[in-house]
Amino acid sequence: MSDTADRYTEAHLVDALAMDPRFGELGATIRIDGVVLIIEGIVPTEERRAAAAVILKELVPDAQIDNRIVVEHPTAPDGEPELIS
Amino acid sequence: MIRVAAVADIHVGTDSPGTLKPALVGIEDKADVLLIAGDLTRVGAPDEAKVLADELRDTVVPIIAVLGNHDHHAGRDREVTSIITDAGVTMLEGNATVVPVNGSRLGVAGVKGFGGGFAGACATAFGEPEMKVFVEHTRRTADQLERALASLETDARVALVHYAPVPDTLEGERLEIYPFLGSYLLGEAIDRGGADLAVHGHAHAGTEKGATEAGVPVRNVAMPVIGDAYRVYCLAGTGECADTDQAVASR
Repeated sequence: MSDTADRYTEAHLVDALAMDPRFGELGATIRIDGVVLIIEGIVPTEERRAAAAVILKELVPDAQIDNRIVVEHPTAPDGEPELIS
Repeated sequence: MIRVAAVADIHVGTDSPGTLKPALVGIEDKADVLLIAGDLTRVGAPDEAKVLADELRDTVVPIIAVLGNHDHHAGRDREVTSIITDAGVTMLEGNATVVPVNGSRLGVAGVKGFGGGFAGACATAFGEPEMKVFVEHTRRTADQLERALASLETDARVALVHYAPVPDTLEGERLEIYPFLGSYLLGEAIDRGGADLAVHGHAHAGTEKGATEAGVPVRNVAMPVIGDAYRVYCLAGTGECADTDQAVASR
């Protein structure tokens, strides 16, 4: 696959992930490196992180998925409040 | 002081039970009200709204929220609004509400807003009908926000929007997508209507702090930006800022 085709494929895969209700996030980025699909982003649950790999594997069965998505759980702030004056 | 906790882009899904509620325990010791600046759910499904309602139901402080683009994706935004409202959350869309806080009155005007870009690099309602619809939606929400802010006769006023009203808080996002992240029309509405603070979300890779042209502080409280379940801002008023007197002064 040419680099140009890769860029189109990356864009279509980002779209497909966003519109799949199992994932439903817009902020992911995908990069094709040979037979490897590298996906990065931040999601709030482990389930959503796992779903990204499942969906990509369904869309591109022959690809290896390098899932670099990070899960960030919300925690109460421990910093000082900001005074707005 | 009026202590305002704010967050956006919590993206609650059916996979989220128990993820938000623990972080909100004890919020009443840190803040008087919680604002949620849109993207309450993952794709705007009623089942997701029910999960969010359960997460928020036991929160002691008043909660005020607007919808975001994610909350519209399933086309069931009215059901989502209804479910969250039933959990005790005040949902705003082009209107305002007043919350009594420690003898003061906090006014919050809220609207989702929309995109279009910022002065010098923005969309115009010109040409195809689709372009006109796009820009007119932004203009309509901005007009609603200005009127809602102007209607408030309170000790402090906050503008609550999902889309960004200024480009400052988008720093870190790719320039190419700025027109999809916010609009100067919202910033103009905030300056015309008047506010002590504006909070927004939507720009996950942006930065927290900015200001409108007239100097109204703007804060991007998207959860990936603030890195916590909420951020607390103290607005001028009476009393202490918090259980600490070391609040950080900023504009």
